[in-house]
Amino acid sequence: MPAPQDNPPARRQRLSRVVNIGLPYLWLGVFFLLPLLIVLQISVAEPRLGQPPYTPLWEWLESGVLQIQVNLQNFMLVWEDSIYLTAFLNSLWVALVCTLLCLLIGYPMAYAIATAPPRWRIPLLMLVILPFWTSFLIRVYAWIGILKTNGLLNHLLLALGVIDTPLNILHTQTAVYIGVVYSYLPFMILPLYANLSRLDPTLLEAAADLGCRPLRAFVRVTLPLSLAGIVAGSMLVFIPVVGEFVIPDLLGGPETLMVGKLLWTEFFGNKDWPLAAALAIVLLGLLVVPFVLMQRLERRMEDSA
Amino acid sequence: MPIALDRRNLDTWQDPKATPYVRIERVSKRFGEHHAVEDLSLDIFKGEFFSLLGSSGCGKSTLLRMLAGLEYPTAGRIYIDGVDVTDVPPYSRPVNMMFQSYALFPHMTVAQNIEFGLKQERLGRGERAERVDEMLELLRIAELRRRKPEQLSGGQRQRVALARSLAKHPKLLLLDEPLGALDKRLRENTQFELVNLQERLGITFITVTHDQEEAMTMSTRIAVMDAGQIMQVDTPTAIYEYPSCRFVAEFIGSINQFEGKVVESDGDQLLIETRLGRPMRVRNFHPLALGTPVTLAVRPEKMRLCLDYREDGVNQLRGVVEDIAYLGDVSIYRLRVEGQRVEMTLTNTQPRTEQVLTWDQEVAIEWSPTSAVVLTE
Amino acid sequence: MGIAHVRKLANLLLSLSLWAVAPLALAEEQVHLYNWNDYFAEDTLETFEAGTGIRPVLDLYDANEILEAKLLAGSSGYDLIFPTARPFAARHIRAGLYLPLDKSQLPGLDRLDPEIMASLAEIDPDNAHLVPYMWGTSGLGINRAKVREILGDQVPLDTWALVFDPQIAARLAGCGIALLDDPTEVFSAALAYLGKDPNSLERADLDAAAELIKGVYPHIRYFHSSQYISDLANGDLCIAHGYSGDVLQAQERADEAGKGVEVIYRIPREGAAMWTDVMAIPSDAPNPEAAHAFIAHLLQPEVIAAVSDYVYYANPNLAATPLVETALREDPGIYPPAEVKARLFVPNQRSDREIRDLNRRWTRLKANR
Repeated sequence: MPAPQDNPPARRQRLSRVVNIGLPYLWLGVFFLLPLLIVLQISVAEPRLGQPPYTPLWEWLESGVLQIQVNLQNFMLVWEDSIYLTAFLNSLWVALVCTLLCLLIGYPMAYAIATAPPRWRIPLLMLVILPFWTSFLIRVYAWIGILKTNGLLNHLLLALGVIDTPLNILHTQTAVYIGVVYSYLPFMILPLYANLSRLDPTLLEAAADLGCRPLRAFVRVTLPLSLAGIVAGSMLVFIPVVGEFVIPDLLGGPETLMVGKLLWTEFFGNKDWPLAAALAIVLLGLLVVPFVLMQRLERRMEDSA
Repeated sequence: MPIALDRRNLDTWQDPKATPYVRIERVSKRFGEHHAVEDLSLDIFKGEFFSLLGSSGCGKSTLLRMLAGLEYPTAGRIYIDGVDVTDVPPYSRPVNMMFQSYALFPHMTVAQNIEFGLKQERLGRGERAERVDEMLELLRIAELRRRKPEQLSGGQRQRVALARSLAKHPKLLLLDEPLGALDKRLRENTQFELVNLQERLGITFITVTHDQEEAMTMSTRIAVMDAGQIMQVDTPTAIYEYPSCRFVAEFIGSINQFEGKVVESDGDQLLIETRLGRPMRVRNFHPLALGTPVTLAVRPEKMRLCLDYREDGVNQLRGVVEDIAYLGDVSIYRLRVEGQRVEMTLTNTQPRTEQVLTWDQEVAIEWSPTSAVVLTE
Repeated sequence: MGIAHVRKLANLLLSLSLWAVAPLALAEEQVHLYNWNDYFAEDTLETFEAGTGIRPVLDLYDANEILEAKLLAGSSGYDLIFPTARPFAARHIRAGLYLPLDKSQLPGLDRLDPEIMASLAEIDPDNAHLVPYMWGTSGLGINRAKVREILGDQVPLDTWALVFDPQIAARLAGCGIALLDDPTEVFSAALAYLGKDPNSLERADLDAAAELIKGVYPHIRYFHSSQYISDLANGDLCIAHGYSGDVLQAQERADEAGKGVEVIYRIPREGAAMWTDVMAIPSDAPNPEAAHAFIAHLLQPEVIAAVSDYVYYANPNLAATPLVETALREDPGIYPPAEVKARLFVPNQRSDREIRDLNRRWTRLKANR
């Protein structure tokens, strides 16, 4: 006689539980963990001329000995050569500045959309999303036309008499800031809008009723309640910007040293896949740390206060 | 039926020399084409527990929000304690409001919610803490001080909202459907508590409600509103016993109405001929010309069984029992009297098995001339 | 050619779309070509298909590095590729990525310039794998009017001094100087200007070259390998260190725009790098027969002359030279006279480690750190 828990419905339930829990893990395993392991494996290999252009992690020698070769020099080089550290720091700095700028510009925009009359909200959101319908690359290219010495911006400023000589903005870090903020602003606005549009307007009325002037009510009620949106938007901007390649490459100058560009050089220019992989691993580590910190902060905010 | 509270000492509104604490002077509020409040004037006196009663969309909430400063009138002036506050923003008014949704700050604890308003004043830390404790104690929620609003039940939230709006010791408290989100039993208990609190603190309360029973129980006076206007302002008793128009009569409780016209006017008594063909006598203080079309209104509980029915009896009717609704303390009988339905309430003094009336029974009923009202509007 | 990775994404999209149409034509014989942007004449593919019945499927890249990454990853699916001989094709031969040519299928090989064949034999013994396609130089693209206005009529324009002499560079900085984003190109140009062996790997020489570049660094607007084409044409730059064909393309665009910008190309008297782009068949090519047929097509003088007319580069086919447009044939920037040709140099063979060191040195130099 079968045990009671082995009857078909119970078995089906258990199976569906295994599938329910297992599927996300399988997904993560195949599309995240496995590629990560491959990158990790490449990062401890040595570059060589051939196909693939790196040494294998293990090899069966004729004597039946399994030889595993782990090369940590790539990580050593990343640590020792100051150019990589400088690039990491500069990338983090650019990402930080851009995130703050996006927040500064995006918050009022998201707030304005969230508090606009309902029939205006969808059109306004569309205006935020609309640029996505044009290729990202084309939009960044367009900034070259705007920012270059003979470009639209300089012509405009010269015509208005604001400046006498054209500004050299293109191929500077400023151009990178402009390009990044422009490209990533929607990623800040959308989560903030989602958050702010859920904010109960009577909370602000209550604050006003209790003697709070609008600015103070914003600081004490709106801002803390939109913290989740701020965190989400900041992550969506900060993380991809650290590894951004196209914008610094097109708009940045020689001094814009960012990890994305170094990765490109190592991978394509130097065919040094292992070093490129090591850089990618370190970059991942640098991004996971602030992410975990942010999450912990968020959890603490929820628990306490 | 509503239980009137002891308000014997409160009748400031009858003193012609008293100055109103809140004066609403010909106030209108329009939202586009919609007239939410239309040319409305109202005086409310210090210490009152005043209710704005009406169905949804009648303008009562808009009026309350204008008192709080959350809306500004399109026309007219509002004075609080003699000061014109019409254009004063909410954060500068000596008024606090308890919101229908409570509007508790979800990111703050109970204590922080209560302290919020105090922080906007120049109060010391110690004084603030004292005031918070006082409020927690007043509403008996001290054990909730560290909780977040999401961890509270509906009743607890209501108390926190009340504590928060009282923390600044306002002279005038506005309550928007203060009991609307509570279940029935909790609502009844809280009604008494609110009144006790109001009497103890001596604060003027203005509350908005759509629940007539709630208004009757708590208020010193009630303003019945419809379509942005006030239909009648009076004490609960007067509103119930002497409705000024058919709208008020119908809105509060149930009432039997007989249409007819004045056929005889004799001092303070009128004789009215109704469609039922019988004369009805009613006491009336305002002279009415003969032939004036009127409605005679009689509350169901004012009806009684008639033991000496006569074909030409005044204020007497005969009908057949159509429906009986047993409510425990009372029973409601629906009678059919010559094509018109008449409702009568009798107190169940006998056990149910010995009910006096049963279905399809023919009964005679009557009422005293002083129990009916004449409505001309 | 150099690192022109800018249009990477655009290319990717283009390749995807080309891949998408490929399966529709499965039934017929195909040859998969992987070539630079704009590197065939307008009718090159049409005449091939008309002559052979083989359908050419073209994929585009604009950086040797992209091509190389695909080759190294394996199974690229291409039958014929067009890498630059040094250092790319040389490296690929050593890595065994190419199929040896079957010369019996390639009539007309004997018409190719023996000098160029000899030079290629240094990296490809017996010319076993590579057939030269186009060759050119990297020199200076100059906005003549503006430079003349700033420097006067007496200063010679065919010299690296325009970019490496700090005093001259300082005067030209305002109207814009750009250098190629390629360490080999820039270092060899700097070494040539210093009168040293442009291929030198001596630490002292490289340090001197690095010092020279650092000295003019503040006057360099950017390092890029393709951006200068449109900037020269628009008048946004005065001097660009660039590839001959690209500068001539800028010249034509400037003429078409008709805004009075005149772009000229000069091979500096101190010497300039010469490069050769070659044809090679990947060892895993699905259809090497068709690849041979395509090479044979391009060995025909009239076909390759038409390509030169279109892309403004010299071809190594001696029989084709008289067929090339006169203006091109007589342009010293494209078909340099013998005495200029004598000053050209080819980059020599370098180990991967040497190239990596140079590249990292370059990254640091560009970042000014």
